[in-house]
Amino acid sequence: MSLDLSLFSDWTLALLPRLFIYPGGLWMLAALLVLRLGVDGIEWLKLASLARDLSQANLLALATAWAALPLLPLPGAAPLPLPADTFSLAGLIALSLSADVLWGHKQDRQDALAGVAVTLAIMAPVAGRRALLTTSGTPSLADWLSLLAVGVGLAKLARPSGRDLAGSVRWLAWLGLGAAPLWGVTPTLSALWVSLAYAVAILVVAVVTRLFGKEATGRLALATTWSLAALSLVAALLR
Amino acid sequence: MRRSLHASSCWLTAINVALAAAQLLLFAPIVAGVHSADLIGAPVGLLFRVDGLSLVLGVVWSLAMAVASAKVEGAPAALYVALMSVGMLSMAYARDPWLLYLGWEVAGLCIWQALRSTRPCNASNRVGFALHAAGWPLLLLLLIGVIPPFAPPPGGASQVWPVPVAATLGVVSMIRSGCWPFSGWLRYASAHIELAQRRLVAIYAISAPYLLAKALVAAPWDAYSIWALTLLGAIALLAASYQTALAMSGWRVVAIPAMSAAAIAAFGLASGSPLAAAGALAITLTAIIWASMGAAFAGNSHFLLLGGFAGLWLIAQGALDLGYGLITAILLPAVLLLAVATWERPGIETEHSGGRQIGPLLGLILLTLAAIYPQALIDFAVRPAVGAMAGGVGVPRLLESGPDVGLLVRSPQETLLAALPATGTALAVFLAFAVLYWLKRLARVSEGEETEAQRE
Repeated sequence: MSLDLSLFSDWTLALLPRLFIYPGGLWMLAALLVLRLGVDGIEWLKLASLARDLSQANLLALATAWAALPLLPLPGAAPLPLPADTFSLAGLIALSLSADVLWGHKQDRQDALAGVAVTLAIMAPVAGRRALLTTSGTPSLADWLSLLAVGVGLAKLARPSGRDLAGSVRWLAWLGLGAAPLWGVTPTLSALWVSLAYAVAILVVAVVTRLFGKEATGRLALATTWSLAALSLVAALLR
Repeated sequence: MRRSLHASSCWLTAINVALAAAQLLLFAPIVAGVHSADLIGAPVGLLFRVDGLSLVLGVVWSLAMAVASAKVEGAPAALYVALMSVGMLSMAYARDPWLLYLGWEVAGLCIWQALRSTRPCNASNRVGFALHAAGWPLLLLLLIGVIPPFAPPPGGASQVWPVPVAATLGVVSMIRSGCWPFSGWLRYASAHIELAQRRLVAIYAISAPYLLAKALVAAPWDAYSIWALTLLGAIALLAASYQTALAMSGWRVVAIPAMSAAAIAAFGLASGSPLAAAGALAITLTAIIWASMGAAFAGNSHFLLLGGFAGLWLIAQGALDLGYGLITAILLPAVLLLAVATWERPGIETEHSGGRQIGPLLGLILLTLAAIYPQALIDFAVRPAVGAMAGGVGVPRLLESGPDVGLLVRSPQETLLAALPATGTALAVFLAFAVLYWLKRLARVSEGEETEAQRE
């Protein structure tokens, strides 16, 4: 029993800093602010604006998205005794989306469909593997296509997600999970590098959204995300 | 009059609870390996077979019928509900396919009669005919004599199920689950019935995939049968998404969980993996519990989404173990698509919109249960049932697997290891929820103060 308790203790001790400091908690809040700044502008960084968004948020959707973020295999985080697999992580984020769709705020149907496409893109490379756990190694074609699909999907979701807290945290979690093959290539990266990668991704999405306007957030982006996700699935199956 | 109605539903509930308790008494010896013929005697033992699968389903069905009986009105309806309980128990414990067929027909006829007691004849007659006609292919196969008994012969597994037989079983299951495009009876029935009948119809529809599980007790399926059933499940899942996208209200309360549970169960059972079969059972059991309890207040498939997540995970892992990566990859997006398609459009409220308040609460209770003891479903329901399917999904020793592979592990030590990630995830969600709850309250207080200041 003492071994069982020590295992549970190890898990909890590894979880707490992940949940409240990095990649969840404080780091998540910082990334959220950068996302709002990049996509929506400086007026959305005001405390009153944050408080209003939090008071209107769907707690279950926000909590499940927050719980998914610290469990991601991000470099620099305290190692978990038993890591969470891709299906569980994608499922937690999917649960957050479905909670928002079914019980929370009325979402745009296109945004919800983009969320499904991103989920498919994340799950697609698994079709060519023998395990649900993400393995380190050179990313395959399916991984690259999946990453591209996630990128386009997140560009589509960036603008509306900037004002919806649960959607924003889901956005961050999808980015971390979608880029999991890249994290696996260089596991020695620190939290600083991950933060830089997130900042660059947010900057790119902000620029793309501002440059292309409605095209980046419209049906074209949705169709591209679905197509790339399907291609990634085909590539994984043909591997 | 009201008193007599109340008395009949009380009696029905009590009888079904007593039946469930009686079946529970058999649970320990059967799971410990005692042969069913030694328990129930030779003449009855030739007709019926008691195993882990039939016991789990029998107990759950009896409890579901006990809950569903609480709203039954009128003596004739009560009689038909009692007969339906008997028919479903006959399905659960049948050794001979003829007995299963008869039990299923009795249950279908009772649904028809229960509908007739409250609704005009035309609607109920159409449902009755659709239910009865769905059994004709099964009857034909029985008359030809190609369906073997639902029990392996002494000393091993019987011959592999022929492809046409497996495909027919799959189609009949889909029809009786109401899976469009195989049949539209469920949609039609749901539009014409009231809450009490709705629960009965849902239990009947969700029980249909049990035929596939029962077939796996005796023998495995070959590769073509596996793909045929997977194709049927995929068609049903896609069609369910399409139908729910078009649906406006009412009938979805029954139809969505029934159709999606049947389709996903077909996926899981077809693959022939113990893990995937466990997932299929977990989803079926969750859906039956939802049908008997949740249908009263949940206007959508929330409960199924939350409660069935463990089942989905098991199916995904099982499919991946066997090399069916496609199923693993599309399962989660397909179910999510179903959830997205089912959300209510603005201005259209279901008659059970109370689910908006109770749904999240139920989700939180499930989450708490998962955090305290995530292995309960596996230990007490799924493992004994899958163990009984040794003919189709491999010998029970295959249920032993490492903690990084699946939750179906044998020793307490392994059980705890496997439960750790599930408990840890639930703990993370709980902690996040608690922190957010207080932050939200704080935000509301500060928002209120700001509004006051603006007024002044």
